[in-house]
Amino acid sequence: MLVATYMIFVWVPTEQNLGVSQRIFYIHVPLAWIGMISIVLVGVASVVHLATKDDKWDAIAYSAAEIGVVFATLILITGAMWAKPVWGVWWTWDPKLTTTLILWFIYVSYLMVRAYADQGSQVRRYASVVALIGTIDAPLIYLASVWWRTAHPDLNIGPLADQTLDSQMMFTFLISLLAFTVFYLCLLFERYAIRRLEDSVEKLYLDLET
Amino acid sequence: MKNFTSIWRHRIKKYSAMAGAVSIAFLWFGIVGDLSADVPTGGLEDVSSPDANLKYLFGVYSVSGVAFFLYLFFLTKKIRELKAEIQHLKTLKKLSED
Repeated sequence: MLVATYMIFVWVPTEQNLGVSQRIFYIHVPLAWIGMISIVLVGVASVVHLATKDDKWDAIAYSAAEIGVVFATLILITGAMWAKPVWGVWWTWDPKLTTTLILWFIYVSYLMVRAYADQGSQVRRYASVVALIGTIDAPLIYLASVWWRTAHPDLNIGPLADQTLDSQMMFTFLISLLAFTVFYLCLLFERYAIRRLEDSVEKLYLDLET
Repeated sequence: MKNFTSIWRHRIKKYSAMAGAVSIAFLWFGIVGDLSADVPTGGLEDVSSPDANLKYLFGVYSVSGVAFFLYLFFLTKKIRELKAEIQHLKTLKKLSED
């Protein structure tokens, strides 16, 4: 992460058209990528949990959703802070931005369903449906700039990306993406361990009550 | 005594309410931003000088750093509370056995 920060602030050249604000790209895009990957993980883990009834998968889904909401919130905030100097507004109802906002609502809905209702297989099933809707939203966000006319910059990552970045910029971006992915995985392992511990404590309480 | 689940459910309800308030504020700002998009783009920031828009770059890194720090703090607090909870359960179990 330190190497990525050094590269972003010192090593990489400043983009001529957007100026210094273009450096927001190196944090905003990795956050967005992880935000989308995380909801897919929530969906896949939820489906596997429903199929296998293994609580381990439910813990993965819950952990990924909680970390995902942090990343999704940051996507919206950093995006707004990049939009202001470039577009002149904090927010516009652009397809990419709107689908990202929907993703944020999906994350929050998932956590609310889990929090408000009593824990049980029925609640986990409802939450899984919410997660699956989110899984559908992830490719919509990615393809929004291909399918619809949008003010958002073109794709820079993935199979449909335009390789228009300068080699130094691309290298910095890849290092930043790697750093954020490793950070996300560390958070996920940590949150997963805590979730398993929470489940154990809950079971201990039930044992004591009976 | 409230059990572990109800305590955390209460907290998550509180956080969800906060998230709801944030989302309403965000939508409000979104609408305001959308309306101001009709204004001619003379209000755009100057990007020609190297220091232009530095505040936005600084803002992005500060907000992200603070958010990750707060989340890590939240996780650490949770671990501490879980350890205390386990200790409490062990005491209860010992008492019930006695």
